[in-house]
Amino acid sequence: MKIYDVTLKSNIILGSSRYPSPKVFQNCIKKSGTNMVTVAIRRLVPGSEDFLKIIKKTKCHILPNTAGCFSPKEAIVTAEMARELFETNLIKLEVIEDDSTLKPSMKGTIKATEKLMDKGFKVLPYITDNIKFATTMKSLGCKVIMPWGSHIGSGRGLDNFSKLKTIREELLDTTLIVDAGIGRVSHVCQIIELGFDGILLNSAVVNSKSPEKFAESLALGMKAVQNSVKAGLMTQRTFATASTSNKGKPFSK
Amino acid sequence: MVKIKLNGEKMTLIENISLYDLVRSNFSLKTSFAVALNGEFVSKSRHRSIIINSDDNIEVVSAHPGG
Repeated sequence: MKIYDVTLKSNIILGSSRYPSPKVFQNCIKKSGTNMVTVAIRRLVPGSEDFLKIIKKTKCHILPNTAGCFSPKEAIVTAEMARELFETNLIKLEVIEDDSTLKPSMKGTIKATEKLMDKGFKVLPYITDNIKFATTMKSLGCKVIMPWGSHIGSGRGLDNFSKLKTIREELLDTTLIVDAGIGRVSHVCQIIELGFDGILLNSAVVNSKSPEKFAESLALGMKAVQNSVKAGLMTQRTFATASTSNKGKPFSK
Repeated sequence: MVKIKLNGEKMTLIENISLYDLVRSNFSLKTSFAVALNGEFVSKSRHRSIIINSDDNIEVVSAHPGG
């Protein structure tokens, strides 16, 4: 999967939050096969250095985010601090408009994207499944766009297949990643079957009884669905079509 | 006296010092960090030349687990 000029070896990006231990986090990275993790920016506290060491040890590409930002201004300054900290122009842009749904603000995301693009950032905007939102992001120069499947941390999967399908059909040459709401491996299959390029998830892994096993199943599921899509999926039909030929059927006229 | 806010906490300095000295005296410089002053990003190259004034609001950040 291509993230601007970075080619990832896996179509899975993992969040780095709420793992029960650094060891489990490292094992999940290994089992999932990913080599990109998302990282947030927060006030410096004792222990910040330990987390940085853990992240560096994974040798993964770092995708900083602007999680928790409610204004374009906050998001832009957070992105600038992240760029200096991680020496990357990549930024997963989150400008949230509603605290309870964590719905991304279209107006705020557009404003922040314009400014960040001017400052040389490579923006990966977190958006809803609104087609206008998606096409506007593309027109601003985003090569990677991340619509939600459903609310962050909900685990509901895809609330609206047809809206996501429309985004895929409109933005053929854009890397599309479903960024929120993934709870099961079956959701991953649905996303890839819709033609999306990849997934970004955190909660489903860390809320599993065995995060490592879940991470492994993600990799296996991803491989299986990619193979099946590559092989070719049959066209869906409204009516029944018999698999068995009627030729030679007994009792027929 | 110079009254400021550092990472949300009120603080009083006895004199105007540089942003670099403020960060050095309050945090381990072994940790990678980035700084915003009054809501604006300040690159590392400017930390020594910027002097902290009364009512300044300084945020010192680092990497944190996130999804």
